Amino acid sequence: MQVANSVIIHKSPIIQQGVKNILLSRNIGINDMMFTFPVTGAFSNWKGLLILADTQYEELINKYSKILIKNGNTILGIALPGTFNKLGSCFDEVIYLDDDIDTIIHKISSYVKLVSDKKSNNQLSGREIELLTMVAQGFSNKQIADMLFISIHTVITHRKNITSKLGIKSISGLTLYAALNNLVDSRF
Amino acid sequence: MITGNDKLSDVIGRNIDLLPIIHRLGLSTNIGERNINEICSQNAADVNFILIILNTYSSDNYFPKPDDLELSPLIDFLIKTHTYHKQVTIPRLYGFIHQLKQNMPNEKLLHVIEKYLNQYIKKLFQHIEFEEKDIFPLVNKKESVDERSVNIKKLFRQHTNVENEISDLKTIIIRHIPHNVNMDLIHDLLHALSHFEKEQLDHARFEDKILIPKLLKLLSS
Repeated sequence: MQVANSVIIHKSPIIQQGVKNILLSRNIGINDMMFTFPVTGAFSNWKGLLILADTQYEELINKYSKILIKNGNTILGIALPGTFNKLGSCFDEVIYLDDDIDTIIHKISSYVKLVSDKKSNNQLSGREIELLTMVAQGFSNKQIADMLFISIHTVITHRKNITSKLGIKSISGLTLYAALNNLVDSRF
Repeated sequence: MITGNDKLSDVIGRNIDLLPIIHRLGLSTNIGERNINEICSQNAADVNFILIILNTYSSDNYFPKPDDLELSPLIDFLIKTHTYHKQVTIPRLYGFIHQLKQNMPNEKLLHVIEKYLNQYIKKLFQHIEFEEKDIFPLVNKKESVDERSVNIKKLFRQHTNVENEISDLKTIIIRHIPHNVNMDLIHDLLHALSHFEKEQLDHARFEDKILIPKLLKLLSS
């Protein structure tokens, strides 16, 4: 399960519920907090969250964006079709209300991975992702050891941890996993 | 344990996955109320061989003694199993994937699992060819012991890979089920993969535990 906890800041209960359902449909964890209006005092306590906010609150969020970004939050905007340009704004990405679900998931998923990597023990570490990418590219344990300046024993330990965390044993399976998570070219 | 006195209809009723195996053994029609002894006698089939096959596919813990089994009907059965996978199981898997792709032509998961399956099937066909060309004919050939033992080691290694790859594919599909997918088709695909995996495991277990000991005994004699 991806464990990026999320906060939705939007007046419309239809949009709150809709966003929540889309996130849950992809097993993205979500906080129960549903804000109809941003409570500014809470901003400094938010760490590592996926924040989805109505772009009409841009000015307010922009004021606190430094602390929000420093605390590892990701800020996504929710906007009416064609009304907002993310360039120069505090939003990492903007979801438009006429986006289809696949587009929304695509926009969110690249940020969810960043957050979840930091939060869950079952997620791969940076080193493990690096190693998995090399396994998926077809490098042998010996080649990986030489390229990363580590011993074969360490490579094998990393590989055991990767298999244990992902529950995937074969090289073909690891390659498929890497392709689906955009670690290697999906044409593999 | 299945015995000759068991009604074949009861045996199938308890484990419906035995039906395609019974079909491969040529016993799937006109079953009625008859027991296995009667059906084998009616079809001029070797009841001992049939019981060994049925018990092996029914229980992971059942291992017949190599002496109890003739090699040539066993190899005939294994070749029929290969044909069954080529003609039935594998086209069925592709059928589900193609139906899913028609519903969701842009879904990345479906494209990558199709490629994965293509690679797996290619290896499986190579493995089948290796068995049918290099291993099964050993029964009738007089070759050097060294060459034979190397081939048999290769057979063991290939079986280990076969076991893990379908299991990994199922794990990955379950984790990445797309939004708005036709869930019935995904369920059918996973069901077909589970059935395929079970057949592959039983087939590999059959060869590792029965065929190979039997061949090794033949080599040492």
